[in-house]
Amino acid sequence: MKKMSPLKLSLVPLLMFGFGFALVPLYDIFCEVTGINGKNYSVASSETVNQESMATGHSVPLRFMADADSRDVWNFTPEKKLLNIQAGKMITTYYEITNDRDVEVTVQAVPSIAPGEWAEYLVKIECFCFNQQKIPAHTTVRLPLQVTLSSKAPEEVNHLSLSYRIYQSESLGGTF
Amino acid sequence: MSQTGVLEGADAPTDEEHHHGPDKGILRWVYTTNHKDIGTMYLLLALGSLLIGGVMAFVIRAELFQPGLQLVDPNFFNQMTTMHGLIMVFGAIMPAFVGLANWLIPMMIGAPDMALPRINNWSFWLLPFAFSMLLSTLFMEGGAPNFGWTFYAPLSTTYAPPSVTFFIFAVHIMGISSVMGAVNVIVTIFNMRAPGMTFMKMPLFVWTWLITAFLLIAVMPVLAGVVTMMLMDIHFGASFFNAAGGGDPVLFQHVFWFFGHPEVYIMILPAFGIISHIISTFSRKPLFGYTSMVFATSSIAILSFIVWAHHMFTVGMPLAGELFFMYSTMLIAVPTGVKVFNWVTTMFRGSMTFETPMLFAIAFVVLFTIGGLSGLMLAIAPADFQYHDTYFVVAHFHYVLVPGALFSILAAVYYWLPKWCGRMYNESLGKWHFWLSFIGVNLTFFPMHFVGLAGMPRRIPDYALQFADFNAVVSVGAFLFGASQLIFIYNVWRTTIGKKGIKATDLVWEKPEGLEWTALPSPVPYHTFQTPPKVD
Repeated sequence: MKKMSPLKLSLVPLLMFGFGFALVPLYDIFCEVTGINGKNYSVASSETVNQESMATGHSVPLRFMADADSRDVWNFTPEKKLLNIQAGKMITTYYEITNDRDVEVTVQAVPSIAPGEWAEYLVKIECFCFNQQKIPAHTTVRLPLQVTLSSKAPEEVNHLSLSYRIYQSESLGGTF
Repeated sequence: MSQTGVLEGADAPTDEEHHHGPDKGILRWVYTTNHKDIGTMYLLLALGSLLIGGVMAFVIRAELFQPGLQLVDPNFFNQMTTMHGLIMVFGAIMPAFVGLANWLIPMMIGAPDMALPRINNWSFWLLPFAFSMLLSTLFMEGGAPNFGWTFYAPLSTTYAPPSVTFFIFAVHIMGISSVMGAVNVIVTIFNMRAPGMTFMKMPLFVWTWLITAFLLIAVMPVLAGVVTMMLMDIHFGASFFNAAGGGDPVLFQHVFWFFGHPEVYIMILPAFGIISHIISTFSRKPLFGYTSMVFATSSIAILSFIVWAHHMFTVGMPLAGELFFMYSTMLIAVPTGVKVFNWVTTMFRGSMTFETPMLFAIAFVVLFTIGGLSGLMLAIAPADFQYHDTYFVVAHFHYVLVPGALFSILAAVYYWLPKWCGRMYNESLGKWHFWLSFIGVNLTFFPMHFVGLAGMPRRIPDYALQFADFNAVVSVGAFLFGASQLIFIYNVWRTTIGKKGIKATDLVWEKPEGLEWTALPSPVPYHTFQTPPKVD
């Protein structure tokens, strides 16, 4: 009878411990492949930008939103609530954030696109959400955003919403 | 004692001759590598946890006896619900099954002990430290963990009390203990079966525990991983679950339930094995559909890895995800239905008698099936939006864990206790225990279905007035159920330590199947099967 080796068997729990951590990227990869979760992973793909000249696409209303939270210590709003975006064309708009406190805050914006299944067609060329933003005390900052609607977007894409939620990054250090 | 089937006793040397008896005093229990001693310690630890977790349930039910806040403040109430869940899952049910595995697996497969006796000793002795650490958080500044036994981030990270670090290390320690115990079980079953005992001749308790052990080594490390991520978020500036740093709190739920769903089968598969043995013995028929039982258990274990997000229907998932997890969850009803069918068919036209183990086993089949049916209701994604986080969920998982897992453990203790200690427990006390438990458990958990469907949320210390009557009934049932467990403790105490009760025969019951009955005397000697029995 072939014997089961306890040492070899112990590799299974070790591998599964690693698998638990591997789930972190796998979870993102799964969402990217299946296009679920309302996240847009194809950031500024060169292909879409090149097609800008071929713009012949339809026009889609794009809504900009800022998700507030009662714990927020800043004011965060889009400059324009609604813009029409033509497939293949790029638009630039701004969000405004006001820090009324006496200290500088560092924030991170996390985007969400709805409906999630069309998120792949909304491509961000430049976004304040790509980096953490430092907001000095008692100032208002305009945060730029450049988006384009992919010329591959089918006709049935007739509305899109882009929303941001702002999180304070210092809270990572436990000073929140 | 002059049974023909008995191998031990007749020609085996006595303990004194080889100085292989147990040591004297407390150090016997500290140093022991004997599977029976370690099994006993696991069972006693589980009993202790059951009492501690039970007292916490009493606090919860006392507060909920009437609407309004009267006994404890809401934060302490949250600590009680959290600790009750953690202690019952990791301290009572899981160690009790490991204790039964220690006692029974070597005797059932004809092995002299577990394959790794020193690891076995260590697996056990880690647990008192893990649970002392967990319980000590109750006395710390900021209180014990208060974020629910599922410890969702960011409640358990950004907003957690400082004691969460002790909780994390306690989970690490009990995880290491579980994994070592599971490795031990797998190696024992693979390497130490008596000659002639092929896999398809193994008793079902051994089969179900083998599958459980594989689930344990697969998912306990994932639990260790998720608490390690929490530790990194809290103390080392990582952002696994923090959106500001690019993490995602929903990731926590995915990783947790990837562990969590197999975990609920870890707590029920050994019960399936126990119930199969008991129903067969007291129906005086071989188990109906042994092979289908093995395959059904394996199917449930495999399916348990692809259903985790049915705990998360309301967190926001695409329709395709909702449908996938809804249908895969419903699929589990098929192998489970096979099992219930087999148990009922085993009883069909059997010469049934209703000793205490059989009463608990039949109650298991009926009440576990009720829990399974409410599980099917919860699996319906659109309906789950109504049921989610209500008392309906509480009713569901208590039906599968209390009259499910716990009843099977009580049944197992009544069934095998005469073999372990050589004396019969008191049958009328056993029947009193059963009937009071049966009434108490249904009085406690059945009305929870109604208040849950009517919208009473779980984990809340106060509730709307229209739920008052049902909650009073639930609390009375809970106190009845809790108090009736004292009968069990007294019954076990008077049989083992009090040495009351008639002596058990070697077979104990009428024609039970299995090496532990047919090849060993009652009480079983300290060492058994030093020469393996022959199985044909």
